Amino acid sequence: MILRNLLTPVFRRFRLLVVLIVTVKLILAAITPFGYDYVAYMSGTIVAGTTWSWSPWIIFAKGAYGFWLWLPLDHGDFLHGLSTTTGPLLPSHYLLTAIVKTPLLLADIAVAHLIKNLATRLGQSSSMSRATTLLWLCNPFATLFVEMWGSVEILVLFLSLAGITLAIGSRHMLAAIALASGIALKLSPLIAWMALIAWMLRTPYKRANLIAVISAGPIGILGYFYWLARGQIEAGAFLLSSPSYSPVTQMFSEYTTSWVYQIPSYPGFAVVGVVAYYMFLGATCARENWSLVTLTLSGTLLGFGLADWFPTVFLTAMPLMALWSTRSHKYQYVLIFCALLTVYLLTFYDAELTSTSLSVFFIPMSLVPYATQIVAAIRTASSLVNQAMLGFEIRSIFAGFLIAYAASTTWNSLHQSQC
Amino acid sequence: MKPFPVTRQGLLIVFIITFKAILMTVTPLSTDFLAQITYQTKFLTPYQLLATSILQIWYLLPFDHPQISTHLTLWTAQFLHATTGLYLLVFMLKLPLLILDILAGSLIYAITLRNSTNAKRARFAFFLWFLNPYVLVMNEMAGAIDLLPVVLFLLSILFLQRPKHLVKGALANAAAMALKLFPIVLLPIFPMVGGRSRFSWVVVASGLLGVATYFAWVIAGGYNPGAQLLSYGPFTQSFDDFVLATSTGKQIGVAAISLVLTYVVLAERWPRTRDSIVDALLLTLLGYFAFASWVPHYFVWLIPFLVLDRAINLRNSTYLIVLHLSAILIVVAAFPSYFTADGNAFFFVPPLSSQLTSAIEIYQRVVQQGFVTIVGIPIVRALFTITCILYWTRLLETRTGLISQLTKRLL
Repeated sequence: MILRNLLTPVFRRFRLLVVLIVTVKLILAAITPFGYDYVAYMSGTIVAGTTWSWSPWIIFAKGAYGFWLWLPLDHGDFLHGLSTTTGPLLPSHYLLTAIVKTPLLLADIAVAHLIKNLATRLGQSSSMSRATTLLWLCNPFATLFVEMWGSVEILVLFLSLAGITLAIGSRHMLAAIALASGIALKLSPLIAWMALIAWMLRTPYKRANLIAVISAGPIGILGYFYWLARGQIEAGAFLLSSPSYSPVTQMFSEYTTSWVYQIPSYPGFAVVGVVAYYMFLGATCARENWSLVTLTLSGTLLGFGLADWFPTVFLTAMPLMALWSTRSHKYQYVLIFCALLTVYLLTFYDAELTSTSLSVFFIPMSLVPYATQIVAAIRTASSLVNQAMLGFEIRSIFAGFLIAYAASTTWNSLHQSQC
Repeated sequence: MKPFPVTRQGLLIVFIITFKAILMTVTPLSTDFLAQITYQTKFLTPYQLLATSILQIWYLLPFDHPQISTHLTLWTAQFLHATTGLYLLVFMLKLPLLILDILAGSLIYAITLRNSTNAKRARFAFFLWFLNPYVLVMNEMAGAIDLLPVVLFLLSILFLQRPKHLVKGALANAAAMALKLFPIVLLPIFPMVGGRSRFSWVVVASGLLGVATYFAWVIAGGYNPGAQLLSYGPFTQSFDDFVLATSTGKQIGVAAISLVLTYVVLAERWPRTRDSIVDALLLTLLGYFAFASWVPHYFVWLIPFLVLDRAINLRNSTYLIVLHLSAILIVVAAFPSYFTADGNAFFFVPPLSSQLTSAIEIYQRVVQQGFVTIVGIPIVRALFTITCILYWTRLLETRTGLISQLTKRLL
């Protein structure tokens, strides 16, 4: 029966489309050795004595790099090739890029599968769940951040989404394990963890399951700081917000108020806002599975609005946005989000997107026609915006929109639960 | 528009105009007012063009014409033994502002009459505006030029509420925005209320035309187009928010966030009728003013809408009174140099007597007290902000019922 379903024309078209998209993603992953995060952790992998040596991702990347070195190829000097426009990037370097990024691509596909699974569990029709999956797979930002940028955030997202899916499937213990693993890699799934607790308190639960889910947070945090300490990374970097971004650790910097007299500790709006939101919604949200998606999405958006994050973390909201958009048939919020994120990236991250004028969206300039002109246009636009002092307004509008998006999602959830 | 009957009300208007004319003549010492004849730019601003023309007319009049000092201290000294001719110049330069004041009152009258179809309420709105002491201090006494874009914007609202006057309304909107940029925060309201119609497209296009014109003369005048948005100038537009900042120095503005939230609420829930435009504009301005850091005369942008809401919707006067009182306390306590022309005047009046001189000293001494700067101003500012938020909430509830629906669903 299942096999017959899979061979229907609709499914065949869907699978063909997925294969096509994955192929494009694989090609993009291979031809982007300048991916910002990818370069950072490959430097950590190749250069000995790095402080990231205990990062789970670096451990994997070292294995992949060792495998690549074992292959009978001309290996050249990979890092030298990345440091100059004229340096030779050999075909083997693209292969290395593809090998190291393969887990990211697999995680991307796994996330797509989870989205489809989650959509079905949440009662969407098969056509709608396919549409939701395609909305994720075709999302240009997902491809930019995962396959091109090389952000390991996708692994964290996978674990976080797995936690939500498992919790909706009443497998709370496994959900707790998935979330603890995600938090141990990076701290961003703490928002999903809080959402899960708030949601569980509104639904029938076993005490042991609740304890397991509550424990996932502290265990994950301990795991995160354990490997941070073993890697000799300053443990306070999370709380104090390291000014220099690192792709394998969590950068998080809250907006705070200032005082008439300088007081050393400020109340951070992101933590205060998200905790208050969950305390409030935890007591009032509808007792249904959709509430977990709503709580996670709204809390994440609120957290994004009230703190400064490195842009790759926005990836964590995108699957939930896809789920919400197809359910509510309202795509304007996603479109505005994409437009604002584009402006935000081009304004504040032009240097990263062009690898300080060595690439066009991480693709070596030698592979892109009119690369010099494109890079010049991107950097000039960013410079003009910053000279016109519009950066502050762009950041403010983006923050305001994220908060409004969170409020709208919450409102619609409440509205639909009443209907 | 029905003419005012020549009654006690007519006499009252004449009396107020006379009173305002006298006050504006004896208050020459405002830095903003002086800027009209002293500001050195590559290209004359629209206001300076007008001031220069008036100056040329003044030179033609059969009076003594003392040398006009372009330096604040010398300009102040001139008024310690000023001739009639110098006061006449002040009167002539400020006369357009008085006319604008009357025009603003008339437009408020017309808008109220149109939206309430009640002449009594319209007259009430007119007098609420015309007797407003805040407007008197900022417009006639301080000589701030903000009333010109306000009048143009009110004119555009009046026209835009009538479909056949769409183009006139759009042109007035463009002109308002070309003079000062503040109506830009109100521009998204029109497509939100008007929907995808010709009305929306025309108004948005006129707004963009206004913005382009504004930056054209700003750049031609030698200003830095970006920097002037952040630093105050008497003719240009500055925007300043309360700021939240990270430890790494990244900043966001709360007023901008509040505006975006207001836009989203308007887009999602506001009734799509042109009658609701005035309320939508007030809602937006309240959302902005609650969290913006504004200079004294920017409050004049808000006053017409407070008056209109009071008169059209018979809103409780508490909001209007509290906002005015707190605004007065904020500006008087936080801007002593503005009201003393850097210690040269007492509320723009030259220190012609020893009592006025000592009044300046006492005023400056009082507002520099720690009790005022550290305790008083933050508390009054908080009062202003919370009143704006409560007003915003009330207005939203009246038009959409959103707050009661939310409360019902949550409980």
